[in-house]
Amino acid sequence: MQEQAQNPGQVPADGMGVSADCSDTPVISKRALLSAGGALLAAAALPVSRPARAETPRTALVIAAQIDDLVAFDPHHSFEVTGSDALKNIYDQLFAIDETKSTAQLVPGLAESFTLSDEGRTFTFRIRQGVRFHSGNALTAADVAYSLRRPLLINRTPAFMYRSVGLTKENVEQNVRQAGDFEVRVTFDRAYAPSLIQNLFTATIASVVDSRLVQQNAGEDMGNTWLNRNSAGSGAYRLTRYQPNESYMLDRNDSWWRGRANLQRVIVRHVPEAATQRLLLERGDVDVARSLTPTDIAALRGRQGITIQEFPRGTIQYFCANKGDALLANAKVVDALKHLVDYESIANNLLPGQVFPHQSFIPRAILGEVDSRPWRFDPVRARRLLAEAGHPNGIRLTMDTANSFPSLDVAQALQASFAKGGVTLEVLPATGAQVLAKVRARNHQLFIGIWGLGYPDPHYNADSFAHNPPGQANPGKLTWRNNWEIPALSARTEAAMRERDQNARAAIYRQIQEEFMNTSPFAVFAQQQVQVAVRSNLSGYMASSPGLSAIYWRANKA
Amino acid sequence: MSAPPALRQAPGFLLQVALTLLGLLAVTFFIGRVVPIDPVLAVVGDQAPKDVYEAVKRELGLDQTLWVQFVIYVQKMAAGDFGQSLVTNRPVLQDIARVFPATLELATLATLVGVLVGVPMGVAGAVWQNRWPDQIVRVVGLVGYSMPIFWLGIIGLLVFYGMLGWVNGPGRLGVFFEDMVPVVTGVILIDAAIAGEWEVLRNAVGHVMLPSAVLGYFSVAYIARMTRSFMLEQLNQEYVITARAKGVSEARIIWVHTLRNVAVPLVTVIALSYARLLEGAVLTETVFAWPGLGRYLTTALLAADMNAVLGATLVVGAIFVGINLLSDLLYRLLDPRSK
Repeated sequence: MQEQAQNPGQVPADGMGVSADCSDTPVISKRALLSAGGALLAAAALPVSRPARAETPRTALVIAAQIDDLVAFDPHHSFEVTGSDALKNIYDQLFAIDETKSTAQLVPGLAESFTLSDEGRTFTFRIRQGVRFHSGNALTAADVAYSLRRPLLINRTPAFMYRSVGLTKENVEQNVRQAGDFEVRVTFDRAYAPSLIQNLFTATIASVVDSRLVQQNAGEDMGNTWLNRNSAGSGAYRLTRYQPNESYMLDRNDSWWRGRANLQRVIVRHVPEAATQRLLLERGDVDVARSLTPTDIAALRGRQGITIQEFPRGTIQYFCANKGDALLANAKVVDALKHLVDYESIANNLLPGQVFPHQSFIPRAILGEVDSRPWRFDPVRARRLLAEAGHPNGIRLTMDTANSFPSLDVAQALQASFAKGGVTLEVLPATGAQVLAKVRARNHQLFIGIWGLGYPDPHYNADSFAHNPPGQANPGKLTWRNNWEIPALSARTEAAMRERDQNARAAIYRQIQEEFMNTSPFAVFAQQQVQVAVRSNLSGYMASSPGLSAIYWRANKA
Repeated sequence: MSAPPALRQAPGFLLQVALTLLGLLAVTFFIGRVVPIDPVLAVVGDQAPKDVYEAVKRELGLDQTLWVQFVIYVQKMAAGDFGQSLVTNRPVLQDIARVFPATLELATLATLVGVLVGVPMGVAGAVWQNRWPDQIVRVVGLVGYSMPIFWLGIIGLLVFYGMLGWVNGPGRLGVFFEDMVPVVTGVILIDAAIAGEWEVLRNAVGHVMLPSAVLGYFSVAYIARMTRSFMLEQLNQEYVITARAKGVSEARIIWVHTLRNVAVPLVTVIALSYARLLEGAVLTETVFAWPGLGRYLTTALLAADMNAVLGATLVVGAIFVGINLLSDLLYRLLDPRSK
């Protein structure tokens, strides 16, 4: 993967080793000059195509984005935001999050309503009638039951979300039953909060696929290979083309039950370089530049014909301290570190517009959010805490980070702010996969990362930030990875999972988070937002929504 | 009549190629297994319980010893099964068949630019040594070596695409031209010509011009400097003096007598430069959103997608072997002594 065509090592020193007898150099004839010039001119006069002053068609939405993390188009396999962005526009789920509200509020999706059994473990979903898949097949309870079982049967990454509510590969045949043409019964291992189950069933994994079509193309893996290249949904758009690492194209489903989308076609193109995305937008070759840097945004702000838009997303940024480390086991040391984060400066100077300050683990707009931010940048206090902990001359620590934006950038900023409190920080960048392996093995001191919400329910994050049942090895949980022993808090997280009253449930999460902020070895310092630049004639496009994905079907052009 | 020497050497040569590729595979394979990246996690994800993790580990054959894993891998590869890519969920071979033509297109055009511009420039530099044409060659070469290619690419885009609108933007084709011609070779310029889709061809040419010119500039810098020093050496040979004494025209001496002698070492230089470009130019491909081999390999590396990394590495190795072979053959054609 050499970038340049030459190896400087092979270049002979200019003119050396060659006869120094320059006077001998012949004077060249006019003809020789002309032939040399001719070759040069011929090379320079490459055919020039004349691109039209580009403008995307009125009926299409063209987006430049980074989509090389998009691994799967099978909704029961996909686990990246990039995948969700497309899949939520292709498939319908049992429930949906109202995209017009600023906080996550449930609305019916393919399930019109549900009833609960007396002991609260069995949900009976009433399925909407008259919905058709893109293929023309009618959507029935059989499709819903098939789609609820399939994630566990194909057993790809997101299946853990269903396992966390007690559904397994072995029991799913029994626990998910078709109870009529338009009725599906699901039995969980415990009586979970209805809001938890509903929120879970808004996730991409709860997408309902056209079971007849998938079975026709099942192959040997229940259609996993096929669904990664095709779509079998009932949503606003259907997938008409997909080239990994290049682009995907969606075409409108004219008979969507929620009403036809405005624009006929959506094209998302992988453009890895932000500067290139910006040029495409300025030229009008795309309508949206999805992954710009703060510098690009600043340059585009106020430019005629271009609008900057911001959409909060459910991803938080944090760093954590491994309590298994002798230095970090001391709570005063951890508190000192939390006082050495310049929270305001990260949000306002380092990542302006890309994040806003946030200190608890439930992102804003999600049930149970708290707005309190108890931690402030206070190096004096930090020094005092370190002295009390027996380190008056400061300490040295290492911080593991993925070698990518934004974690690496923040780690470098932390290096500077930690130094003001007497903490010498060594930043250890590596690829994401390498860092993950190290942190899962609990071999780190500090780790900085980002954490995305998998479905719009507080439990998803509480499960990893505030749950660590004693006596179990749980390398998937952030608490376990940092040796944070919290039997009492874990019990409360489990209680919150089962609290049927929504307000009472929110209250438990608020208490959990207060304790988390004060005592945990985690410093959450920001929540991300997507900052995009769009052509000003575009309206209604949402790069992110409270339902955690992009929304294309409301986009329209003037 | 006995077989010609080239044919008699063939079995030995093939063995050598096979051993080279096997060695390359072994090194890549063991490095891939030694790096602290867990390929199982890349499949099942971070949250998978232990039993799922173990099952996938067995499925991938990662519970076997390293040697057994390697033998199994080589057997599969020999049978044409390069495995599935984790990132694209497609067979690696299919991925490579898609990304390699993109790189081939870019590298070939860049090399053409390099030869067509670089060789005359090098000749001019030698003929007018230390005079203004030579100074130009020197500056062009220096800038070519020292300027980061992504910067040049972005500036090129800004000027020729953003401001002047002379070329089309990043990517191989405009979004609305994609998939309009059937894939025959994978090289869009050729496929469009075969299909007779001239609009697509025009669009593709508009897209490929700038990246191939930017990449070609670096070839120009290299080839021009090498040509210049080869030429200088030849121009001081006695046969040149003899030719002059006989009254042969200066142009003929330069373009026929001298250049023919320069051609032999120059072929190696051009072949090496071409081979490097065929590995894929990651930065250029990134700036121009060009879905080629370099970016494929980088994405795969970052995602710990070892099947893709191994497959692509093997292709790169095969390219080097192939280009070496090609330049050997050209050597024989150009140098009468080797016959």
